[in-house]
Amino acid sequence: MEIPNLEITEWVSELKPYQSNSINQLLDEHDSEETIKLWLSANGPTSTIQFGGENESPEPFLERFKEEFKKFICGDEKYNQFREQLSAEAPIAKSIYISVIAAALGATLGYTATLLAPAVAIMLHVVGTVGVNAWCTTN
Amino acid sequence: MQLFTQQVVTIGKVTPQHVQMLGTGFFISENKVATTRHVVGNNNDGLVILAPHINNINAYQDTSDNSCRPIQANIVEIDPIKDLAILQIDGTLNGQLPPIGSFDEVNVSEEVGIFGFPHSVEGRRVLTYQKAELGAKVLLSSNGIKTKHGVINIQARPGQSGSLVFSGRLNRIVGILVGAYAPDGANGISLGGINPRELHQTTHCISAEYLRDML
Repeated sequence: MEIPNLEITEWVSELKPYQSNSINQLLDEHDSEETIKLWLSANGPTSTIQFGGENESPEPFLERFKEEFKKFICGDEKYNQFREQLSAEAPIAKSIYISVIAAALGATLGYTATLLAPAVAIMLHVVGTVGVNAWCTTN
Repeated sequence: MQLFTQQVVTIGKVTPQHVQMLGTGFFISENKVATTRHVVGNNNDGLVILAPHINNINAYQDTSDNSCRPIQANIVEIDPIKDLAILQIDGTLNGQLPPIGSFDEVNVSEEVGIFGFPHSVEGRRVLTYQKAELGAKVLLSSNGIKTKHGVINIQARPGQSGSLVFSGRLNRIVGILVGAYAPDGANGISLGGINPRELHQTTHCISAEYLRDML
C-alpha cells in the first residue's frame, strides 16, 4: 500500500472543523508526535472536577495506538480486510484513508474511531513523507 | 418548559446487572444528543440514553420506580480537548428544539436555567430545573488550548455533567455543564464519598457554540 506524500495541512483539512482547529493549534507549538500525545491524552480543562462518567482517567494508550498503526501500514494480516477495502478505492481519497484506518484501529483498541481520526491523519503525513517501506523499516 | 422533559435525557451504560447512569445529555437535533466526553468515555460498549420518563415538568417523579427504557447510542463525535461528545440514537425526538447559542450572548449577572439529573450516578433519576446567574466568563485551558466557559453561581453535583444551560431571554441553549472548579483536578480528601473541595458555587459550563462545529 502507498501513502501519498502530502503536507500535514492537507491531511488535517480532511478532519471535522472542531478537530482540525485544535490540531492546528497544537501543531503550531508542538511536533507531530507530541500533538498526537496531547490530543489522545486530553481530558477537558485541568482545573475542573467532573460530575459524571465512570470516574476513570483515560488510560494512556499512545504506545498501543502507534503499535497498531504500524501493523496496519506495514502489512499485518489482521488488517488485511481493511487494506483490501482501501485497495478497492481508486484513487483513494484522503478522508477514506483516515476513516478506514481509524475504524480498524478503533475496533482493535476499543476506542471510537472519531477519537483516533486526528492521530491517524498526522501519522499518515509522517509515513507519506518518507514512504511506507522506509517507515516500516526504520520503525 | 415541557419540551425539556423530552429533550434532556439520562446517559447510561448497560451492565450485566443493571443500567449504570453516568450523567446528563440533551437532544440537539432529532436523533443526536450532546453531552460531555467524560460522561460517555471512549467507546460505545453498552452506551444508551434512557427514554424520557415524564411528559410534564410538574409531574411528581417516582424515585422508587427503577424501570427505564434504554435506547442504544453511538458516539459519532468526541472532542477530548473541550470535553464534548455527540451521540446518535436509533429513534427521533419530535418538536421544535431551541437553537444553539453562546455565552457571548449572555451578560454576567443574567439568569440562566439548568436542566439535568443531579445525583444520577448514585442511582437517582430526577429531571431537575435550577436557575443561577452567570457569574463570570472565563477561558479554561486543556493541554494549552483555551476555550470559553461560563461560571454559574450554583453548586452542582455528580450526574449533572452534560446538563443543558438555557437562556430564557434568548430562548437558546447557551452552555453545557462540565463540572466545578478544582485547583488541582480531582485531588483532595473524601468524606463519605464527598470531596469537600467540590462543595462550592463555582460551576463550570462550556459555551454551547462549540457544538456547532461537531454537527
